[in-house]
Amino acid sequence: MDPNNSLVIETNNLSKAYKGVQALKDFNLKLTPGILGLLGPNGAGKSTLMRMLATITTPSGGSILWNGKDVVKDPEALRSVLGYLPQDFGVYPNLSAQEFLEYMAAIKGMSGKKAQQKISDLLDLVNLRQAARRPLGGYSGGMRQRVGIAQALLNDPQLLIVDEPTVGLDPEERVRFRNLLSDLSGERIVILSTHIVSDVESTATDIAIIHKGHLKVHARPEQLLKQMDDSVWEWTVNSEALPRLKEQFLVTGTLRRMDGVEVRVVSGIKPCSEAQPVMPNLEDVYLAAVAQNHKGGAG
Amino acid sequence: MNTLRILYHLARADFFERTRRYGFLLTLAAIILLGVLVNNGTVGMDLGSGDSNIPIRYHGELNSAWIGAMTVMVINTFLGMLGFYLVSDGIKRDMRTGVGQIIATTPVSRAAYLVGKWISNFTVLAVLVLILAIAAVVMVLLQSETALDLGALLMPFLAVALPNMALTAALAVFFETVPWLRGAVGNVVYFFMWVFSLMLWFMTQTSLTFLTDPMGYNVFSTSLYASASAAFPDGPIGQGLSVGSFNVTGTPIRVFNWTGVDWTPGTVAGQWSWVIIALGLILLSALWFARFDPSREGLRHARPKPEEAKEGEPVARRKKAHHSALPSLSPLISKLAQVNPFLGVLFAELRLLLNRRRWWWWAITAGLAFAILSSPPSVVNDYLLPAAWLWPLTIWSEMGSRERRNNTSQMVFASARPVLRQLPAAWLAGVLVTALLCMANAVFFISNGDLPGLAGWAGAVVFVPTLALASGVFSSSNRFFEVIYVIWWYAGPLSQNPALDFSAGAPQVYLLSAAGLLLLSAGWRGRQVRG
Repeated sequence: MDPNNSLVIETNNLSKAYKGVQALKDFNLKLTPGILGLLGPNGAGKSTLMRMLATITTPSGGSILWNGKDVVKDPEALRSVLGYLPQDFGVYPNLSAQEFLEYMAAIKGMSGKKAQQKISDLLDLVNLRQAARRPLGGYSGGMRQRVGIAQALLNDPQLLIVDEPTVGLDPEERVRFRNLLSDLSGERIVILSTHIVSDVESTATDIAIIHKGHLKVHARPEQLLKQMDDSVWEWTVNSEALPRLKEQFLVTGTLRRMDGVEVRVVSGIKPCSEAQPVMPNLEDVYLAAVAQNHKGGAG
Repeated sequence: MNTLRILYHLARADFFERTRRYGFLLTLAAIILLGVLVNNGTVGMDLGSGDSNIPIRYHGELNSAWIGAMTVMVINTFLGMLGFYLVSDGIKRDMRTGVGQIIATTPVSRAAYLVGKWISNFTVLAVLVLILAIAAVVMVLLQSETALDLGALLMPFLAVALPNMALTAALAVFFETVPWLRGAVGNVVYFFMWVFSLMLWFMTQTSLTFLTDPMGYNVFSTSLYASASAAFPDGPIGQGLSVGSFNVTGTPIRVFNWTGVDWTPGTVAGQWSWVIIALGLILLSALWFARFDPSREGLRHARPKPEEAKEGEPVARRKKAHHSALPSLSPLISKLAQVNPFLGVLFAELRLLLNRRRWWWWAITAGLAFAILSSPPSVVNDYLLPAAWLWPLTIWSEMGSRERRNNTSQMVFASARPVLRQLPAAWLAGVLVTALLCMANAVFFISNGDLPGLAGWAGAVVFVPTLALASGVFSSSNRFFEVIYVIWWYAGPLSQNPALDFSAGAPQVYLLSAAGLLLLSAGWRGRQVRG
């Protein structure tokens, strides 16, 4: 039996308050190997959740269990198998990528030979072999992001938490990273927070949507898409009618055409006679989930 | 073994990061200059007569023991203070760059992380000590009439200088782990702590039975006094050891032979006990070090505007804004800026300087002004006027470096006329705020008919913010100004030394200096803008 099959991280009534602001409340989530796409509007509590899962921030209440061990009380139980790439992170500009990764390997407790081999492999993986000896201060944003990805993978983590990992990457690197995540996910738990729904669409095995510090949705993408069947519509309107339409319905997309504007709308009922049902995508799911107050929203 | 490896890599990365900076080259240059000044006798150590009316100085012969001890006392005096400011950035840098939040997720313990930073701090200071040790060897070879005695020369470095550097390195870590000691307040507190501890050791010659002072003052002064007394039994010889810059013109100098301290294991262990204390300080700091947890670091978050949702707050209301009509986006300039673009920037700079001050800050400002206007003149002159020239330190130290520190330089430098409009506006805002915050000083001078005092005040009102702006522009940091200003303030306004008191000196000198600094700042900022 693959020992990784037993990997599980779960939160029980997890809460966090910052000076009177409730960032997360009674949050319950259970994850097994695979990629969780974490979606939510800015300020919904995603970063707070990830910082608590990454043992940086202590919860105000509740527990986080890693394979049954409470990591709030014993964070070391998780840290040796954790990889974390924060959204805003920096590097030491006067160190080279090689030196920075050696440093990170050491503080992750990796031994010399093993660390050197892993660093060499990762430099190839993130396509930084040629620039490995150059000071990080001269790297572009995308190159720094790749160094961040490499450090997160150094200790072959069983739990990988990545916050907006593809920001700053060019399309080729983004696809490369998405494929990498997919390859990794079979044997570990990956939590991917992003605003780029296409990244989630192509990689996530599970999706969680956070809203107002609560877990709103946690399901497989296909389940979510199935729930939206017959709730997404497209038709063409003239551009003057568009503002009024936006007041009435949740518009998830518009496309200029010669005869007007093609609109994509989420609605539980057919909005008008011209509207045609179309296949939902995850963007529709996400927007519908966070926009409950819209008239006609499928939510 | 693994812990040692972690410590090695923590210290190594931090050491490389510090020493590969351009600023470290300047530090090396300053240390080499200090070595030259010691070599040519400008800076040194001697014994006095113990009576200020009898200007006799006592020097040791230029042998290995004397040169070693003198260099070490110079190191402990200068690096004991400036070394703190030089190295107290390791943890702050990890916070600033965000590397800290990655470190927080690793198995490295709080104590190991802090010990690693301590070792790195110590290594940087030890490199500087090593340079001065080499300078001491050169001095013996060039100037001594006796042969080089490496044991006598280097023992003061090993037994006294290095433990003191270890303590300084630990204090830097300690101050960085306490949120309120991390910034300007900590810089000022350390300066006064250093001054008072120096006074304590020098004036009282306090020495515990098992522990001598970390500077090594008592280790050397006792032995030196004994040798000088033997050579000149009629004296008079004071036990006070002076370290610094000497103007010896016309002062009789008596030279005596000193073969060095009798380094017993007890003496060496006494000095190295400070390393144990330093380690204890580090381990103590680990108890409250927040390990980069933003919710425990005391970080103040900007108060969200009503239309912005806080994390965890209902986001539904934002949807309303989502569909609202587009606001008018042009023209972008405010009414004030329409009258005069410079005034618009000036007003914005004033807001930046004064925003975010808490109610208690304003209360203390007002209390200080009230005290100046209502206290006896002697109290005002001796304490309150100098205090008024220190209180706005955190406002001044933001000037010139705010764009770099807050990473807004690309936006600011890409705006219209960053050198000819924004920089002068920032300077003028600093001058106006200084005039406002030190207004009570001016009222005091006017009410006492002290026109020279008023002129000095006017000079300082222009000079101090200009110095702050120039320091910020050149160094891209607030610490440089905080350090040089506090030292200057202590030597000038507080000590009422006319040569250094910018608040009471000849205003034309300071106004001229301010003009020069402003031009240099504009030139340097121009270079920054051009990238």
